[in-house]
Amino acid sequence: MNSFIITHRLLCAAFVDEGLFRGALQGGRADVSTVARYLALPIAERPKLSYYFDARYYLARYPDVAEADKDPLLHFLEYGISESRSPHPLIDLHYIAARDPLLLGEPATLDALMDVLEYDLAAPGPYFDPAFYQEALGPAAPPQGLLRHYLTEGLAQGLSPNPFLDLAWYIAHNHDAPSDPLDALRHFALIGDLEARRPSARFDSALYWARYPDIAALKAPPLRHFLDIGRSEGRQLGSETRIAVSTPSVGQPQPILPAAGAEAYASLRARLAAHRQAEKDQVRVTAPVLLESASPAADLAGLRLPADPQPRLSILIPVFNEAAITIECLMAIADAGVAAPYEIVVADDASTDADLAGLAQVANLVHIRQPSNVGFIANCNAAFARCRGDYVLLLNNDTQVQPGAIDRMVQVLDDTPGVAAVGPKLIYPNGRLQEAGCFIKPNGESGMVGLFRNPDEPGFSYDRDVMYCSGAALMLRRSAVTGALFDEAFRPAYCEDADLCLRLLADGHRVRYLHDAVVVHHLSVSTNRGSISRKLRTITRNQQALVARWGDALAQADRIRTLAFYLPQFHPTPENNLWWGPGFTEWTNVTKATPSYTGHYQPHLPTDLGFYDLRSPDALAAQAALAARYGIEGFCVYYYNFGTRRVLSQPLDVVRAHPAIAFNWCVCWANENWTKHWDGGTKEILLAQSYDDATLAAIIADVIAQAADPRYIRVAGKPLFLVYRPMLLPDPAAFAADCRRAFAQAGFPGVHLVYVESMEAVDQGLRPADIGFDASVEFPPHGRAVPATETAEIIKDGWNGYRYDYPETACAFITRESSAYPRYPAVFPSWDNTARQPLRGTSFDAISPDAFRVYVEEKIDEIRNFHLGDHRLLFVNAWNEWAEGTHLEPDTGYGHRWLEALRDAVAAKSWE
Amino acid sequence: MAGSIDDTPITIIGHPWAPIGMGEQLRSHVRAGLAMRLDVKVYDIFRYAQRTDPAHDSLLAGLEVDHVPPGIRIFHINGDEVDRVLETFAARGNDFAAGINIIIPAWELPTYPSAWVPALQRFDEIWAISRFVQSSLAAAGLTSHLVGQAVQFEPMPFLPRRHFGIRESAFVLLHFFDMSSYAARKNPQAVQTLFDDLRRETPFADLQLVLKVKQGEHGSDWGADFTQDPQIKIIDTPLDTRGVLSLINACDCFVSLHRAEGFGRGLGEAMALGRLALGTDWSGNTDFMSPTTALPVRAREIPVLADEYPHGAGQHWAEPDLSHAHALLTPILQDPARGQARAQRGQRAVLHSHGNRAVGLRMLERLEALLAPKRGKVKRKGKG
Repeated sequence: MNSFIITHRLLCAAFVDEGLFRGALQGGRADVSTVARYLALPIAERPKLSYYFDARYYLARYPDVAEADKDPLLHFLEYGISESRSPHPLIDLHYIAARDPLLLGEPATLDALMDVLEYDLAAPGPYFDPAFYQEALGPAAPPQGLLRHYLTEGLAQGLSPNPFLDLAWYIAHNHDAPSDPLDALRHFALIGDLEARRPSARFDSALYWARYPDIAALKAPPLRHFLDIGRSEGRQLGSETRIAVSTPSVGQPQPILPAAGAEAYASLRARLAAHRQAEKDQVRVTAPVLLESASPAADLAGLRLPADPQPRLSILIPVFNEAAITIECLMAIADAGVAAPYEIVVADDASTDADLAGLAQVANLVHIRQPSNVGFIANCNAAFARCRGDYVLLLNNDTQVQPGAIDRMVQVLDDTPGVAAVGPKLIYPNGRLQEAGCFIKPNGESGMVGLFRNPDEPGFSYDRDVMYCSGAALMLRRSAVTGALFDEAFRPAYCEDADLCLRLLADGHRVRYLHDAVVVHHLSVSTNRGSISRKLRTITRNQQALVARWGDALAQADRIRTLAFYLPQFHPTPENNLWWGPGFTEWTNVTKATPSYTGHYQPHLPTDLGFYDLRSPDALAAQAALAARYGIEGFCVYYYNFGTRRVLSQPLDVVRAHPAIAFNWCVCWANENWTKHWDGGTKEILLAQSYDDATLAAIIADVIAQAADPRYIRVAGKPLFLVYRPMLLPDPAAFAADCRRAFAQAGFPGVHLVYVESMEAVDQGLRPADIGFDASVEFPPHGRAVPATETAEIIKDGWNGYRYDYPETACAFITRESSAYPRYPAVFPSWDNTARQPLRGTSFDAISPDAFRVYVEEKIDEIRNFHLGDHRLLFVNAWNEWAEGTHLEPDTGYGHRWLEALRDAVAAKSWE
Repeated sequence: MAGSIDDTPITIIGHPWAPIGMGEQLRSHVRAGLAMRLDVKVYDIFRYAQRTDPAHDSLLAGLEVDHVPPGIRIFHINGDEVDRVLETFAARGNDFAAGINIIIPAWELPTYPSAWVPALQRFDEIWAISRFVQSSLAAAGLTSHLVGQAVQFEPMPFLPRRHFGIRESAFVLLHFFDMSSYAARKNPQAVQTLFDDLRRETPFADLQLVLKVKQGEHGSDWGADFTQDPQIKIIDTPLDTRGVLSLINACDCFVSLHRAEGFGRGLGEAMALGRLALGTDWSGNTDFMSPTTALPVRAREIPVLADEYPHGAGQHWAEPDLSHAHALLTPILQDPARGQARAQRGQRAVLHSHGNRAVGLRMLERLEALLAPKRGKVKRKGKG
């Protein structure tokens, strides 16, 4: 047969559309001239004769046909069909055969293919989904021939052949894709899908390959693979959307730059040093009026001392030469008008100064002279053995007691049986403070409280128990001293007075600093470098000896007790469910927070402990274990009671029901209104705090019940109880008295009442004693926040909040004036309530664990100066105030770094 | 040379900037001397070491001299380098005979090598860094005075665990493995075995072994096997002083199952930072480790095998008892807070016995004895 006849026969196949044929070739297929016209045209210009055949697709798909320069349609009709070649991007004979081998026959025939296509016997290929198309057309769908309908109408109207291929989207997102729908369809089938380009917003081809490396390795076209195989294998379609804008780095660790950390640490230290130097330079004091002995021998001869056969007080003055100041010292005593019967015992260590020869002749002065110089300690010990008074005032000869000082010391020893030694406020002759009591570090070094400062500062103006007072002026209860006065081990001198006081403390006595007993002390000041060095070496030897003897006691006495404020609002409550929606907890707000300005660290998201629920004993145990690991003793848990309605009490109920959880706690009564604004104010109140008798009684009863638990935190044996806003109580003193009475009745040795210096109590100088309390506690950053000065780039529309500077604020809290009453220091790692106030949040810039460490170390120094033993409390605001951005609990940004800094600060202060 | 300690030049000589044990030892004596207000100067004998560590600079700045005056000279060098050091010392215009010369050598076995004894005898006095070294020197017929090393540093802002990629929640055991040293002495295999045993018992315990590896000439990719192991962290980048101390500070327990240590500096530094120290209860570190302050591991003496250590023939050292190490760690792993009291006692104890003050006082005591008028009777050994 010649090719003409073959062509004619091929074109008579049903696959060729009669309508298209007639339109293109001006005649039916019975008219052979049409075939001649067809063949006369160049191959590339021959008309489209079948909706189901796409010549350009066929040629591109089968290069052998193009190379042989054959008519693609005729090739398909003659050979392609039996070779199962695909005539169109939407028709895939292998696909059909794979699902039903019988449909197309073997080999496939044109008639069988036409049956499949015209009567919708099967999906023609992976890219065309007849059911989807039918549904898309709805009532307009033809009874049969869905693919033909699509190719003749739907495609041109921009309809999709399957749920994932959106040709308009594809054209819009691919600059090289043709704008004609069929051309674009072909482009996708031949190029786009092979290159893993997205067919629509609904299918992410790159993600599909990324999810399934096996498919990527085969370079299988993602959409085709998904539609053909993946879908039936249960593979997930790549349907996630991507947006071009960059999102904030939520949940990323904050970078750790070693140099920046060192700088944050050093710069805060430098700032503090400069501040303190300036403060020291600004001290203005009045020098006390001192006695001066122009002619010591004459003054000595003129000295008149009282005769008391039974002195209550012996004033022991060790002397070695230095006649003038010694005689001034004696004159000052005589002038002071001491009311108590006393004797002066001068322990003369073989002085050679002629002006002191008259000592032996002074009436009523006990003069004990060593035959040879025996050294300070032996000299004092010998004289001490001769003292007759119940009390002995050790007094250096370079002192001048101020009027009233001795009587005040006697009075306190008389009134306070537990006190075995009292020390005065020692001042320099120029009026500056020398010592308001002393502390000893674990390494044996001592610190003089208030050295060089103004003696009238509040912190030095109240009596308190101390570790020791200098032997320059120390009044002892003689019966409390067992054995020798000073230990010979400390010869020639230094640390013997500390050792003496430590012996008293070890025997259960107290040592007390008395602010209104004042003694001027010259304190020898040497400027000779060699002698300074020799003195320092002697001191160092004795400090080593002191540690060898008292090391454990010093460490115990210097121990810092860290307590962290603790919020229990991490479990649903009926109240919160009602006001804020079911399931509300602190996390609800925390997770919603977003950064307000560039560099603003939000949101804070938990890591190690997760989004815990405090109804779970495991969560409470994990918190306790984490705190213990970093040396935190316990939690100061907020307690809420509104007219006997307790709120958020469940976590502590769980703790109490599980004695094995090492959760130590004390209670802070958060006595303020609950409002819609989270501010404890008076607008839009949700729960109003009431102060009726029943409420107060219920609160006291609750705390007493909790305090019975062995894990409840105590101070010197007394349960610790804090009140958040004491000034809101109608009668805080009456409440305090009720508390004390109730605790006593319950068998406790008392209660340690502390108020929080927050809100209306900030900087009021409110003496705890005036409202029946024992002490207060700082509540940073309230009251001293220093505004940030650097500008910020706002990224949140409508933001009008407040920015503060962390290092400056820490500096302000560290250098604040001391208080005239016991105030426990507190520190905060950071603060940011954006979670509660998205547009009006308060946040701190330049937060830094390294600066926080300096802050903690400095507050430990403050504790050493003003607190003793069990009272060495350091509070942290807070353990878990997530919505206020202050939490030691680990988050994504800082992890354990706040805890590490806290631990490192305490460790750095555990020796020196 | 009778005189006041404050009028006598004191020069500390050796490798002040070197990031090696002898450099650490020298610097610790500088700190100890300064703590006692001794007017110490420093002399860098070879000037080899790079001066890149900021902590060295802040300690040594202003102390360096380029000529050694008469007076006291304290050499922090080893027996095998004495000849080279003294040659260089003279070549740089210094007069060895013009002063009192003290040497503080390192050594790790029970008997000091006889080959180096003559070198040490050229000095007026020998100081020992531990009782163990003192007895080792005595076994070689040398008298020495116990001074020790100081393990106390200025407070500094430490780098956090995150900086090193150490898991924050984990109980972390830290081991220093110096590939450039003799492995048989440091005994890292024992640490590996101990750790494997612990893991076998509690495979999912939150436990991590951090190995600080100082790469030697061999095994440059040592530790590659562990890179995917979440319970083992290899740190092989060189660290400066702040880095090393931060790393020790970041661990819970420093582990050294050595067979012998002259002093055991890593253990001492860990204790000074308030960390637990688990170490073989033998040799130099027994000066500062006790059952109440640390975790000393029982050990039995075994012979040093051929080629295990220089001058090791006929000597012995100790094999730690891993079951004891295991028994010491187990209760602490179950409750990490339990180890804290012991670590805090250890911190105070080691700072009391090996703080700057303690070492400074022992230095001072010897210096004052050397300068006392009767000193003329001190026998000068060698040609001096």
